[in-house]
Amino acid sequence: MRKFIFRVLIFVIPFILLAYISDKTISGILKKSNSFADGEYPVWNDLYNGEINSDIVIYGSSRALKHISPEILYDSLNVPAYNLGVNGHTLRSEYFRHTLLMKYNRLPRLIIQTIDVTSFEKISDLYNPDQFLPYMLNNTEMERGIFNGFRHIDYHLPMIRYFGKKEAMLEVLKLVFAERLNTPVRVRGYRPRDQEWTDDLKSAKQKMGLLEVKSDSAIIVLFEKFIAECKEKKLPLVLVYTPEYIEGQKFVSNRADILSIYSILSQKYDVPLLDYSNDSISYNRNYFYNSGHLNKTGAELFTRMLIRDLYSINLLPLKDEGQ
Amino acid sequence: MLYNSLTFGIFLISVFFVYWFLLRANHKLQNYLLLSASWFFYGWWDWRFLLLFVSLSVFNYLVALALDKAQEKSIRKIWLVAGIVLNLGVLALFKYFDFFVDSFIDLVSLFGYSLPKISTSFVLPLGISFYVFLALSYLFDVNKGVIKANRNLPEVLLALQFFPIILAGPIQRPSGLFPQISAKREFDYARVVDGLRQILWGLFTKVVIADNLSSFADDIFNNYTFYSGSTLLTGAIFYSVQIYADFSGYSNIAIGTGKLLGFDIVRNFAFPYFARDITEFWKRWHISLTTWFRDYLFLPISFSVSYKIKSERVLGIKADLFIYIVASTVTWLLTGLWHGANYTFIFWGMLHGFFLIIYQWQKSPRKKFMKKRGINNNNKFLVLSETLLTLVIVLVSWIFFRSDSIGDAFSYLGILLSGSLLSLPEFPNMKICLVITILTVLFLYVEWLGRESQYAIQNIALRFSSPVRWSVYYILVIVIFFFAGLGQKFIYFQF
Repeated sequence: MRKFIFRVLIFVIPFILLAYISDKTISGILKKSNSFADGEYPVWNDLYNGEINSDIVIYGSSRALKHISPEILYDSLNVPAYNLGVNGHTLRSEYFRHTLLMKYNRLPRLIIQTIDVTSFEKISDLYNPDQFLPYMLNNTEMERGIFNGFRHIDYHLPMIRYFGKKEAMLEVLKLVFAERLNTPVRVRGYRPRDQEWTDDLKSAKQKMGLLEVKSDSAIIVLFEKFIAECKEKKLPLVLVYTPEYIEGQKFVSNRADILSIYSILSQKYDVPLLDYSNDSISYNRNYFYNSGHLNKTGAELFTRMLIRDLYSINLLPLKDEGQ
Repeated sequence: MLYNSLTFGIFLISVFFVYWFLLRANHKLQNYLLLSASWFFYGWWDWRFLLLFVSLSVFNYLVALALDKAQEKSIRKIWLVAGIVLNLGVLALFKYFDFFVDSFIDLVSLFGYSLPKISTSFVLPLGISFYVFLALSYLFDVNKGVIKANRNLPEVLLALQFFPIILAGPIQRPSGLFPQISAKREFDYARVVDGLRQILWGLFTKVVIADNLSSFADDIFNNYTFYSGSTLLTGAIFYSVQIYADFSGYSNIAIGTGKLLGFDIVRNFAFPYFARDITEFWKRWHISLTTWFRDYLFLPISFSVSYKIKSERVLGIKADLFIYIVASTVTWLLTGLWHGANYTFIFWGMLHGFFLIIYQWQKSPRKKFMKKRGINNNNKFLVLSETLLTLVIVLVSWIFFRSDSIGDAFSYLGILLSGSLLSLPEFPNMKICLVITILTVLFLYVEWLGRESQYAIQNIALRFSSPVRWSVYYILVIVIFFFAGLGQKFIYFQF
């Protein structure tokens, strides 16, 4: 019996001893990946390392990520910009990125907050959870910010969260043995898609029918908190409903009700709201690859339109700090 | 509490230490601990069904005592029938009621009558099919006089509800478990290490091979109309390996757990995909079930029919083949039905029955032909081609087993055998698919190397030095950790 226990301990102890070092090593390598987990690591790295360093930042979901080009903003305005859009997430995660920006980076001079019909939605599944893996160990602010998808022990015990993460391990192997394949997929957070229209709206309509999007009151409260914070810190903020293909706008039955919440908040806090739902771009299928997302051509055109409109509401040129 | 969960790990470690450290000196207390642990384990799923299982076990305990006591054959028969009716009645109620009622309504509708649908919507108690077969084997063995009825109620309860085997077997008959339960058990280092090694191999097989293959096989079977013939062929191969890895992995964990507690549980798999013919396949696949059907159904039917046959030929068929056909048909019909209340399972069972009959029919002429032509039965080409033929038969039958309906299975086969069979297979995640395929090939290779032992890596201790052995264990643990497929239940839990 003693021999058995002694041998079991001898077998298990290396795993315990090496767990922390392995965690640090794997996480360190994984953070270098440019394309894994939807290419989110470079953005998280820039956030945590204080390398956003931009006067204009863009918040939002995939419709921010794919619609607004920081390069065009830079070329037109000669100020650095960064797209912090996060695919498949809503305001809760977007706010978490905002808190990291505030904590580790210099303050921006303009925040472009893109909004969607689903922004207030409470999503039960954590989309693309692998993007958080290398940053989670003992990261209590992330544990509070990413409210679902992981267990408490995943944040506090080394390696546990990597259980069954075969894609992540293959990415680590790729980075170790074939680093040349580590090509960037995002430029300052922006990830356009150079693709023609792919959606089959007819079959989608038949399949899904009309959707009703439920807004979560706690997320609306969080959004108000965010606006109030921006006001308090004198950070210029603009809400932007980016183009959505006109036929696709008919999918959500309570779309008008949700947009009215944004109008009310915009008036309440005196924050400008730009809505491109009825702009000519939203009627032209050539600018979209599906009903919710502009393609690269559409995104470039839209970014220029946005710059023009920001000038028209006096958010551009950027005011100097303290003005 | 799944065998591949952290909860089960903590549960097993706790039971193990209390069992060997605190209660080592008193095997009766050890038995009470195992019984409590078994109840806790089952109650973790659903305590209501635990009450059902305990009540049934007490009933079977009493019926066995009555069988033992009864002197007259007619009284024994009454008790036996009562035992069979209650056990099979519970199984029928939970598992087959809706199926039989629906089938009856469909049958009646063929004659132009319409009956209202009745559905019990009962949740199937986990392991009910396995439990009923355990209990019936106890009653049959007592009735035949193979064993005496056990008067010790806790021992009977433990034999019928032992946690390593309660959910999906192996169907360890009480006749083989009673002597182990009543004897004092000693801590045997070699046996415990062997148990741990078997659990490790079982976990790798289940979590890495079966669970990863299932995500591809499920996708292909659920959307087969969208895929090419070559992808469907790959899907069928994946499912064939998946179901083997899933169930043999489970069995290895169950048997290994038994070894940790000092018990020898009957073997359930003996590398069935290396079988040369379909008969051999069934001697190697789900052994505890096939031997159950052999001993309690096939042989009694065979004897019963043979007593009634007086001539050498029946319906132009040799008497012994006729007996085999009758016994096989009934046995395989029920084997199929045992797996689930669906025509796909019945068809699958009948398909195997058909091939077994064909095999039996050609055995003698084949032998004569081989002798006449001077063909060596152990000719490598012959062995390989027969093994491949057996694999094809088994693979085709799995398509019926896995499909939602017999129609779907035929459609699947239709697409599989179309011109697109010659195209390259496609998968949603080619990179992962490739890695899993490599792991699967390695797994099958290790199984081939270890085919002479009880489980593939059993003899690793004899073949390799400690550093090599420990390296293998470490690699297995690391591969299990990183390459585990997540959230998959054991296929045989649904039966």
